[in-house]
Amino acid sequence: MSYSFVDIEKQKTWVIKSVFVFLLAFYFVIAEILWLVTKAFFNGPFNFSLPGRVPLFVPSEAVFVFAVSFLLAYLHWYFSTRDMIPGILTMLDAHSPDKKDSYHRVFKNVVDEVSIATGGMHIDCYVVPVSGMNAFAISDGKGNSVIGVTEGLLSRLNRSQLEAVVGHEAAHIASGDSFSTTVICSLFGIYAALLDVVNRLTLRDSSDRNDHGVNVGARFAAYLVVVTVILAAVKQVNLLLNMFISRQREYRADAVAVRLTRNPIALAESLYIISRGWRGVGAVPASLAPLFIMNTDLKAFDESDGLFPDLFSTHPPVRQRLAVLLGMAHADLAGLKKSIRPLPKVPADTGKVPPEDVFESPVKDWILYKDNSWQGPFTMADLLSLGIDPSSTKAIKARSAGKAAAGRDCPRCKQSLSEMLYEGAPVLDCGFCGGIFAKRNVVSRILARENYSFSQEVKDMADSLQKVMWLSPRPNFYKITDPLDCPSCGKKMYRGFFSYGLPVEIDRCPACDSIWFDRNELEMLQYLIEKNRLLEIGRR
Amino acid sequence: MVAVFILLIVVIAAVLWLIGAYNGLVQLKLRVTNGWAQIDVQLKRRHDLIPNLVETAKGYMKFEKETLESVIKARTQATQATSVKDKEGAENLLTGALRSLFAVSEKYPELKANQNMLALQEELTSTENKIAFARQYYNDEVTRYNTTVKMFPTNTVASAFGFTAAEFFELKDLAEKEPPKVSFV
Repeated sequence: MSYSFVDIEKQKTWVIKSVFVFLLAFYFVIAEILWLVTKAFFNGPFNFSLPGRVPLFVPSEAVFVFAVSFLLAYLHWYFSTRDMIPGILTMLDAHSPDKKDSYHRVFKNVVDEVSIATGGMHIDCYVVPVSGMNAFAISDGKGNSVIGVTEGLLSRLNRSQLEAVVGHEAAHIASGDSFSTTVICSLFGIYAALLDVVNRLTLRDSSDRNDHGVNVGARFAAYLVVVTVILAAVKQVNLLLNMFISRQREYRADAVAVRLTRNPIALAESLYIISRGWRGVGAVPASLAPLFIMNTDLKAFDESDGLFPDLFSTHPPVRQRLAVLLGMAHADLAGLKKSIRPLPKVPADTGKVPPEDVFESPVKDWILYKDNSWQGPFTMADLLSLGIDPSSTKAIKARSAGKAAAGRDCPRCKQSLSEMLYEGAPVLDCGFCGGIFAKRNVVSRILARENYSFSQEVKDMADSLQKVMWLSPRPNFYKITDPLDCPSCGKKMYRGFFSYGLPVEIDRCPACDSIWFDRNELEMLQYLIEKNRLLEIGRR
Repeated sequence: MVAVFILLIVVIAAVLWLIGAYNGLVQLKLRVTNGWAQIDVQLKRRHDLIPNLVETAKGYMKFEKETLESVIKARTQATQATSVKDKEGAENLLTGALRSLFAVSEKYPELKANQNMLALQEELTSTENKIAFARQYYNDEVTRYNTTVKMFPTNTVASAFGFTAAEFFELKDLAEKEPPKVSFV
């Protein structure tokens, strides 16, 4: 299975040309229908016997329509392939990895490792803050390529499993099929967006009933309805483009991933884990599903064989992919299921650690009681050079050693906040009262992860919160007279439930999009979300 | 006349084949060199990380002077090695020293929990993997190059222009993973 760049280029141009011809034919049919409908509506007062006097279909008009549709197809092509990568990343709400975040650092390292296995291909990496598990690859014709994963995938796969998934995505990029998939998905995107615009237009049209000419309004509304119906049909017919996305490419990418990482078991494990969980349907636009390692929606169609699934499904059945991989490793599914273990959990409280740069000097986090006074701070090496055994009671390790964030004070106790890692994500922590302040995107990262275990106290409090929620009247948050000041921008924060299903009280700052959690509030929220997730899986 | 013509065609074909074979060899050799450069970059990165690692571990592992010294010694040797065979030996020594350092560090919970140490361990793991992948790529390219150098008829061109077989690069793995069971049947 060798792929030279010439082969890739040939394959690319072939697929791309046929997609363009398809697009052109498609625009022509749609434009012609639209043209005929428009004529029928506006040429006379809804007179459908019109063809008797003025012929509905005129060949010279068809040529004109063809020219227009060629122009449209070209423009469509031009605009949707111009900024494909930023466009898709925006649609997915993907962000580049946070250097301070320990999970993101591992992800970045793994992508770098795999890119070396491919012989030094340049690949950018992105993270989608969703707790579902999935991964995607996109590339444009100019040599830019991106591998993205969801937050859920990062927190629930171990390193070699993550490496296998990234290897699979790198294989899509190296073999060039991610380019055609990216083009096709970008073409989809425009229709979805257009349909949204029309929906909004029609919705507004019906909501504000103004009193200009009812006749014109009704006719315009009828016209819009027809356009909507056609566009909706177009979106469905667009699924035909899936024909150009071969199911086989997933098998190929699996095989190349094994050649790159030499670990079929890890890939089989990760496919199994991904297939059993939420893959991000609802959080990810359905039109982008072909980009992902596994279809975001769980469809029986994808899991079946035959001519039609082979033609129109973009992903092969999971069990067949697993069978191929397990065959390579001489293993079976039962053994695979047994070997998969959930990642170990650590208690939430000990997890808060200061983020450090690897190349910084050792931290001074020891203080020492000597000559009737506390001295320090020292590094461990300092202590040893003073001849003091760190395990003796004379020296103690300070709990908070994070860099104090300048000008960021705890809204409760006015101590300065320090930068810490909570579930691998950088937050501002008050060492005094245990409160946590974080940007909303960091919070969504934390909530997607589940590598912390919680104390019984936190669990009980969270459970009782949920119970009390239904028994007592809702607190009136408008009556709060002493709102907290946002540690970041100083504006007043709003107190309220995180959501109605998750009745944990938090303080939000709408100005800088951040959240303040008092002690245990974040833990309770995480616990409740994990509990809901388990219930969700149990129902399946 | 016809004979001359045929001879001419044969000569031209031979020259064209020669050019093609030569260029093919050059291309393959360049890929081998590129693969080696990648390994070299990663080895250097590993050497750069080790002083930091020793610095971090030093404070906690006062009584493990020998382990730390052996790591430093192995690193110095590894940085001085030049040929592929020398590097192989020195890097394997270094891997052994690092392995015993990590084994000993298990005894020091304070050190294991140190965020600096964790970050360094992540960086070292990543670098090890990068070395492994770079080595994999390099060895694949060496196989392709050596096959061309040794197989008839390209071996005639190779020997005429002084293309010699390249050496494989074998390294021990730090984590000593079980060899993955792969079969492409």
